Amino acid sequence: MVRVIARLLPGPSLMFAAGLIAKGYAEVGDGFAAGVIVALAVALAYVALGAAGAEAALPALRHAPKAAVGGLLLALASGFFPLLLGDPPVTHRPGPGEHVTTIGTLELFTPLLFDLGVFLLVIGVLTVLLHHLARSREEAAR
Amino acid sequence: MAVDRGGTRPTADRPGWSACVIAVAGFALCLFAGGAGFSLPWAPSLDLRLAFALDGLAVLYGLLATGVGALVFAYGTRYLTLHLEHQRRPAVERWRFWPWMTLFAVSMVGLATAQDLVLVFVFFDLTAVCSYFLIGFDRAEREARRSALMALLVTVVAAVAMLVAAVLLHAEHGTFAIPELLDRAEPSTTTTLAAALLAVAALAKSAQVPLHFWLPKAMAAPTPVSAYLHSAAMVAAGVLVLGRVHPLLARSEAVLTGLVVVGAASVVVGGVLALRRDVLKQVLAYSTISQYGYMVMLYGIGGAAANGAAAFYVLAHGIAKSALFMTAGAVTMATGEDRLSRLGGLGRRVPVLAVAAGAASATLAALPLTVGFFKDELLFAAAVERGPVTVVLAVVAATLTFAYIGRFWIGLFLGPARGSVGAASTLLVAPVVVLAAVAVLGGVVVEPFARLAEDAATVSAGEPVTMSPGYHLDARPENLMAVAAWALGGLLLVLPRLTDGLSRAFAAAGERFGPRRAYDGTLRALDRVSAAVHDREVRDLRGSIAAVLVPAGLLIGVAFVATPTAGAYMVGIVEGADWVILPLLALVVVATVVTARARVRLVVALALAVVGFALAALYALVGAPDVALVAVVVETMLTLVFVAALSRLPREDPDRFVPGDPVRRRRDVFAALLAGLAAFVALWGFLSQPAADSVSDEHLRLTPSAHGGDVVTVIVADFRGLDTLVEITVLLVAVVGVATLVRRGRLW
Amino acid sequence: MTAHLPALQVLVPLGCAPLCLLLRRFRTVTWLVFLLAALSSLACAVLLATRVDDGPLHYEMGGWPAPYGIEFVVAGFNTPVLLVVSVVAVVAAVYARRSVGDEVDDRRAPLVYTCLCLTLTGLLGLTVTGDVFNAFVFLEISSLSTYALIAMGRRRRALLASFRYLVIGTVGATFVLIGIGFAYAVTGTLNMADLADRLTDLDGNRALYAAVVFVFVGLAVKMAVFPLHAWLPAAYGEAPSAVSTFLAAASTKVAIYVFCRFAFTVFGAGLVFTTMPVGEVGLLLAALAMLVGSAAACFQRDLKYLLAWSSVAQIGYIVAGISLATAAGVSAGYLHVINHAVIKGALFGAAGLLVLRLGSARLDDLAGLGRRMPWTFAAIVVTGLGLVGVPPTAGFASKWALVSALLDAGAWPVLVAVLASSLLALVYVGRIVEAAWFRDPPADLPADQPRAPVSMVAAVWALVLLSVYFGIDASLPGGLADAAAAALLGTGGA
Repeated sequence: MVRVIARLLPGPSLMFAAGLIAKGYAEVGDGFAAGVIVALAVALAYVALGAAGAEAALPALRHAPKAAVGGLLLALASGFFPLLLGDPPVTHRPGPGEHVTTIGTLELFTPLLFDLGVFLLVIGVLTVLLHHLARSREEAAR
Repeated sequence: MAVDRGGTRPTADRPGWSACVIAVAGFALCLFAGGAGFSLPWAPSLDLRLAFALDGLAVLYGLLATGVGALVFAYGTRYLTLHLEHQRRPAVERWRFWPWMTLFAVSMVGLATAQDLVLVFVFFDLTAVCSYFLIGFDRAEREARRSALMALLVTVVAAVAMLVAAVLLHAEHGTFAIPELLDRAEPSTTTTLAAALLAVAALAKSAQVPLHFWLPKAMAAPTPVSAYLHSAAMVAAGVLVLGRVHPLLARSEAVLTGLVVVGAASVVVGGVLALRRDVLKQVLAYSTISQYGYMVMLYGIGGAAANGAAAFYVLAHGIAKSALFMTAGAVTMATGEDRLSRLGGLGRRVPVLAVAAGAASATLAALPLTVGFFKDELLFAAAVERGPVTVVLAVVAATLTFAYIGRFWIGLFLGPARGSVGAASTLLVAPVVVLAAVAVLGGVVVEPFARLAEDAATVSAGEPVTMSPGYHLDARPENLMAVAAWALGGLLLVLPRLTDGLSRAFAAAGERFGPRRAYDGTLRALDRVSAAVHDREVRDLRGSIAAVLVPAGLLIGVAFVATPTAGAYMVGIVEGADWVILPLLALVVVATVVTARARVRLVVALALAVVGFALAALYALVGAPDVALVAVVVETMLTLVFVAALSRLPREDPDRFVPGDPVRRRRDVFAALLAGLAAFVALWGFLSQPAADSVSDEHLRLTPSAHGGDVVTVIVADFRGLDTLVEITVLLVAVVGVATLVRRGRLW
Repeated sequence: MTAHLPALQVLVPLGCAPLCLLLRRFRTVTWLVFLLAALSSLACAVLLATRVDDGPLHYEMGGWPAPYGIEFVVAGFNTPVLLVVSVVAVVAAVYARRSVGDEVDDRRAPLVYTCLCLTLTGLLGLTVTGDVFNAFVFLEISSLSTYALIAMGRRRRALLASFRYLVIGTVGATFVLIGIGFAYAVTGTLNMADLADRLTDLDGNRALYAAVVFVFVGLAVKMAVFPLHAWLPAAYGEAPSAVSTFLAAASTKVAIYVFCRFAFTVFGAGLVFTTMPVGEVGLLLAALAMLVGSAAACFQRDLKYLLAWSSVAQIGYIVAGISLATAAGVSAGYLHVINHAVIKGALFGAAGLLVLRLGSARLDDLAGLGRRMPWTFAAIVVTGLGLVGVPPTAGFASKWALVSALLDAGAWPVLVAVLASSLLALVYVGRIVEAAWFRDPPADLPADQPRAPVSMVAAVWALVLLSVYFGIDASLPGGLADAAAAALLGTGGA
């Protein structure tokens, strides 16, 4: 039972996380919380299936280091790009008071990229940590 | 660099001869460039200048250092080659010798010409560093290494006194330039203190009682080093400084009296101990202590006559003592013996050396027809001027000198022949002959020597000095004193038993209570302190944490005790939603106690998780749902990781969880209680005060304009976006750290 | 673009860190990235230093005005620190290529450069930020990356050293955070200048006192002020040589700067030094640090540990100067920050050369190496003399400034401690010289050992020559130090 849930849970957790990010700027939630929630689902998979099992069931996990570094770069880029436009870093576009296109509660502006970056980074980092802890234990056992 | 081993025929000592050429060039410079000088900015912000001048004092010491230097270096080219051969060391080791010798000669000239107190200090220390390497040249011998270190420590530690004096004087007069300092110094406490400190540095360098013990030890050096450093250069540096700053010393009667006392003590201690030494170089070393005692005494007497006498004395003594050291070295090289008791009757076998050494000894003993006669004449004249006490001291000094140097020469060259004699190399004898010739020449034509001394004394006395040494065939006090000294000295020489007891008693007392013991004791104590500090420092981690918590707790406690307490600690009221918070807080307290008392790791982890979740619930209740959300998910993750990490540890042993040492345990409990109490008091006091208006109000106001509905998100992503940007990078460090520690650098 | 220099100063190294990780398969490229980060920060620092004469530069992040957003401030008081950190970073980068290649395995080397980038970011950020919480964030990133760097040392003991520093350092960082929290609670602001303004009418506030104590105790851990220095010897002794070179020269110095910044421009000299006895406590601890640090250094058997203990003593000199809270004292402290960074950097670099050659830096192993490694030992002797404070070295210049400041203030007992510590310094420097020149090399020393790489020797000698230059002409560091002291003491909030 737990194994089945563990296998299936990452999907819904991703949906929930997407929701958190989408609503983030208007209500409770942000990229960090979303990332941790997905990571919790991954953690459950590791606990229930073991490291080898979890990584076989969810092959996308092996991209975790890339997600971590990529997410960080995305976040940094969203922070740094205003420099190219002559503004201080972490200046968001569109600026205060300007019009922002919205889809529901999802606002299409640069903090969204920032949140996405944080989201990817958190998932990546936590997955890598889980992987190391589990793997090194298996290696030690062998 | 070619390496030629001991077995092959030694090549010419090129570095040695180069050093010799440099010394000769320096001699010529001092001779012809008198009066020259220059001053360049060095470190302007520190008010330091590279100020040099070749005044009278500088010429005297410069000539002595380079002239004697050139001869000793020539002597050394031969001596060192033989020395290395005897010890089966490669000839290339010369390169560990001559550069230091040359640097030493250069620093001596620099010291003589420097006109800036810091510059004097630099050269002073430079000579000490050179002497360290030179005394320790025979580095295979433990004794040589220890002696080198002792000479370095004693002279350099004392030299620090000079630096302190420089700082004091600069603070008072705003300059390091010696001429200006001498102008501006007035009699005052600062001047006295600075003068005393300068004197301490100089006296240690000149091996004066009670800091004399390093010099006999330093005889472990090869003979050319002793012949140079311990006769005319390193030890002379001390009196050079006394001469250089003498007008300053003369501002304080106490300092002058101190100099007389130290000088007299050195004369007696050195002279008496020299009477019964057996090793040749030891006799000469104690003699040096005694002879520099004369000069210190003369500077202590002060005034024109004494300054002139001191300058003249330096010159005469340097020439004679250097010749005698080289004699001792030549004899040891020729016979393989270095003790008076095993040597004797060498006069017939090395007649030239015997005559030259005789002239040098006569110079030291102040016999007529040598330049030494006038040194004592001037000494006696200055002593008479000062009073009866110094007269007696001067006669005692001259008597002792006559006795020990007579014993030295007679023991070596007269009496029954002892010891086998090899060939004495010409190069080992010629420099002695040259110096002896100079000494005799000075005994006949004293004029040039007197002029040199006059010019030098003019600088150190701060007034023009004229002196006219000469032979006077009348019954003036100087002559009577000289005759008395010879007679008494002769008596001591004939009846050695008169002094045996005294010399032994001095030596025994020195062993028992001497400053050597203090030096050794200090070094040992230092070692122990250092070891103790080290042991204390390499303590357990708990100790280190306690070292952070306890001082912090104490400091905070002090800060709170120091402020008024009336009405400071308010007990608040509980109302409405607070009643929900209270049980949560109680849960936190229980969980904390469990954490502290638990003996099983898993319980610790879970109890900590309870604390975390209770706090998350608290956030939700006080109206911070975002924080609560993050707190919950993070706490869950942390607990998972914590448990996973714990499972990697070795199986737990409940007994080992309790620290065995009750003292340590009590200390830990104490540290924790103190820190907790301080935190409690601090928080209570802080909560009892009204909170200030916060910038958060402005943040709330600005949130809509930043397109946000939730202020926390906007703060994190926008107002303080940089903080977030940096903090998320911390996660990267976590990955790198775990990858390094657990997986040897692999990321996946 | 020049208007953005304060931001570029910090953000370029920050951006380089993930780049290093991304390019970890190409070791040389990661090294180049770090070198570029260091060079760019040096360029920024130099450009900034030439611009602060007309007054402090303020730079507002995200375009939000100062008390609401984060601001960077560059002024006379932090340009010397920026210069020191970035110069040392460049030297360490040049040095690191061969040193890290030798001491760290290929897979971890890119991680070293990643962490070095982050440490550099943290140190520079701490220096330029004008916001107390932002300062804590930068403190965290520099600390965490430092822990990781130390753990990459060759021996197993490096892990213990790192863990020890981690635990003590975290306690310290938490203290800083608590202090900042208190300060925020009583003032409602995090901006340094704004804090200073709002603090003026908070006389006698207990929470404020607690804030001062928490912040200073926490910073004292990072500064390695006696008796909170327990982490330092093992940390510097076990870290890879390139890392010790960088950290020993830069990291404690930045913590000292932050102390000054908090003391003089946030809490204010009146509160810190008049109302609270921080100056007296500082002088006492400084004197103890000088004596204990030097005494323990005399006893060490490993050159790197010896140098680390000597750092404990040298930090005492700096703290003594700052604790006087006079213009002369603070200037002397800054001067020694600059000079000691250069000297210690060179010494740890030289120790690294020995590690490369011998596999260790134990004093016993140095026997008779003086002539085989003339450049290395000449560097050790020249900078060692600076450590003792012999004129005309840089060490003398700063010690002289300190001694005259102490004399002016009449702090005689501390003066005595300075002199005693200098004498002990002579002893421990003497021990190195003794080992290198006065003992015979072991007979089994193989003749054909690897030669020291030119890049490492050049890096070390660049610092040696800089220290010699600062000794002969102290006007550049002296001018920077005077300007810093004036900026700290004169303008308050800046």
